[in-house]
Amino acid sequence: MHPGGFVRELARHSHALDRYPFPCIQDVHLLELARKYSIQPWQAQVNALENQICPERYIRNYKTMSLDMQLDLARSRVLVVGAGGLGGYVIELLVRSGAGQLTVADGDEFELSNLNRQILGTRDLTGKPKVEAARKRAMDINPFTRVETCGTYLQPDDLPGLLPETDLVLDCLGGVEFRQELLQAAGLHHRPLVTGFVAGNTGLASTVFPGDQSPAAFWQADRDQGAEIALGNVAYTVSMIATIQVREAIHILTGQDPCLRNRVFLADMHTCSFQSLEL
Amino acid sequence: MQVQVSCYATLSPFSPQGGLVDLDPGSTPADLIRHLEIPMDEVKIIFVNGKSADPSTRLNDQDRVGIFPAVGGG
Repeated sequence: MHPGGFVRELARHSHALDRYPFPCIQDVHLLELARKYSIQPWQAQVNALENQICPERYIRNYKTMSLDMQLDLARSRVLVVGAGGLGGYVIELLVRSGAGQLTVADGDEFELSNLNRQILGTRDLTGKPKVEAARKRAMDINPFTRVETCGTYLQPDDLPGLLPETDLVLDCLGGVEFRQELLQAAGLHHRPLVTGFVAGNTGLASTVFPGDQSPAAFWQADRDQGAEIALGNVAYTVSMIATIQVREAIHILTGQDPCLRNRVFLADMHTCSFQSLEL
Repeated sequence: MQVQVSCYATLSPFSPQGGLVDLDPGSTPADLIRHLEIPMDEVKIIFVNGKSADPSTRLNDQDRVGIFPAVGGG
């Protein structure tokens, strides 16, 4: 790699946009430079942002997100556990927003009953692994997000290998099972975790840093006893909670304050009322 | 005294008419849960006035109580 040459070419291929105080670069040029200098697209994106050049695809993030925040997000490494209802929307929003590196873990395959709510599921993917859908969707949206996949259900033994390489964990599991183990492991490795859990018209989300109060009381049940078994899960509750999870994740990854530490966000989609409850 | 009650998810059928319940002074969430005939083992967490609370907490007039079962879907 020739950093000086790369930076000079970045500047040459960037262009000014009205109303924005920094130059922008189009996907095609940044990808071409990454190829030419043999660096990964996600790394090329980091380099562009470090040089105050914004990939044009993020221009509408500004000013809600500063260029420095966009750089924080581009440098971030996120573990998404579950690529079903919550996970699909979480991945969609993180990839569009500009997260640099995702590891997506899920051992499941799509079935017809997923299609009412899981954005990654399509008719032609029935019987196909969810993590492969996640990888393809991410690549179709944003080639500057690196996606690694784990196509099995995570086990406690997997976590010590994954968590040190992770800045933040998104708990998008389906069911009460494994949530407490994941939360404990995240705490042991000093990683923040943003969890979402839903059943019917009831949706909940919480952010847990090591030592915080957690919403684990909601998961004190056998695997077949969560309310979601009886009530099912609907698209509007799932997508609402995934959105709140991503709001928390992006704020944490970009050095802003999360809203849901020691609290749980409650969306009652039956009455359309929303509360932040203290744990 | 009167408290305002919301039961969520699978417990929502136990929500009282109009959301209000009359209780004896000094009653607790555990008393409320018995009054509503909610199986105690299905209640996993209780909030009183927006704050997580023990089932033996003393309730006051006009308190707001939220009652939840296990929730883990995604």
